[in-house]
Amino acid sequence: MSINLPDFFHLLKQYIRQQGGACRVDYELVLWDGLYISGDFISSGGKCVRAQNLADALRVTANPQCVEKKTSELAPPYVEYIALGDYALLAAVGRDGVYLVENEGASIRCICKVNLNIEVFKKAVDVLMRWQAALLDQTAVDKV
Amino acid sequence: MLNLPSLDHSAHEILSYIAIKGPVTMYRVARDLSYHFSHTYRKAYKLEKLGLIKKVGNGRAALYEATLGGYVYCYVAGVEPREVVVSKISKMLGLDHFSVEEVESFLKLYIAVADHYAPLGGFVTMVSYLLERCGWEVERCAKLGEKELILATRVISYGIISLIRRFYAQSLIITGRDYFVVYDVEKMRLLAAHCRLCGRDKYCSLDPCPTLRNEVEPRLKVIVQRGVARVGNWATND
Repeated sequence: MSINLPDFFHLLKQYIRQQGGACRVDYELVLWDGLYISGDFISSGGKCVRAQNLADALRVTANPQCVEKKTSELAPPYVEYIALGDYALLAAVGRDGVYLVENEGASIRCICKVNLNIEVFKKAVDVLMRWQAALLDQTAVDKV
Repeated sequence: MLNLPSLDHSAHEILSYIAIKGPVTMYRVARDLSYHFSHTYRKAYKLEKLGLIKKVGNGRAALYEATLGGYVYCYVAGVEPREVVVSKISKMLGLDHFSVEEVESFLKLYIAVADHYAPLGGFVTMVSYLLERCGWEVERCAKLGEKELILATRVISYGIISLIRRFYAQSLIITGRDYFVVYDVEKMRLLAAHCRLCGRDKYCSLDPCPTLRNEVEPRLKVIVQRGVARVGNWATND
């Protein structure tokens, strides 16, 4: 169980631009180029969709803070923030909490425990996964 | 025109933040700018590839700070507070003992003169580039107000003196009709020579020809005997 956020954002942006309603909102969080959250609204290109569960899930996973430098065995769900060249950043579930792992080349550059509750994280990832499945099958978005 | 990339809004904001607040973690950048991690890291990766920011620290905690190119971008783009940007450039170039106004005047002059390939490396390299482009008459090279020009030339003078001290402080220059020799009087060795004694241009350092040696060594002996070959920059002529 894993989700690649850049791919997810591309799908979401595409969906909002095709299916969203015209709107004008100030952004509260920048998700990606031209993709923003404002309250319950997610906007792109002057269009919005209202999806409180998705907005909350994206906020939860947006920028977790390292609270302790420590290692742990990791398990799904994995949230891949970025993978560029030999660099990757992902969040996953460890023994006692959620962990952030920064990989560069073949080695782990940094691993730390973050300020996210495992259950909250799992719930957020679950929402993201359901949205991803629905975005891939755009007819199912209304059912998320 | 300096070779600086054009950045989109987010990349500009991230670079500006790092330039002013750095060194910082990407977490702090993301949190303070209200950017998602994915967005922040992707932009940071591009900024790093463009040579505008770099990772610093021991490798465990990834901290980022702007490079000289990044700071110069911020200066050209008008990132505020400008004094902070100039101060950081000043520190990076080892110009802390100059005022912000002096360093800024130097920057203005450099940016005005710089072409696409202008170096943004060490200070002495930048001054060498200015001299290469403008010769000794820097004032003719760029349109700057008189006051700014005076301030800029103070910094340039420091660059010239640093250049000479770094490379020629212990040198003796011996010139003749057909040769120009730079000699290290501390180590008693030839640093560089331009010679036309044999009718063609020759440049050498470690392998001076006997003709040049025969010309220079007696003169060098006389100079040393007279006691003028102390540490310092001396020029003699026939």
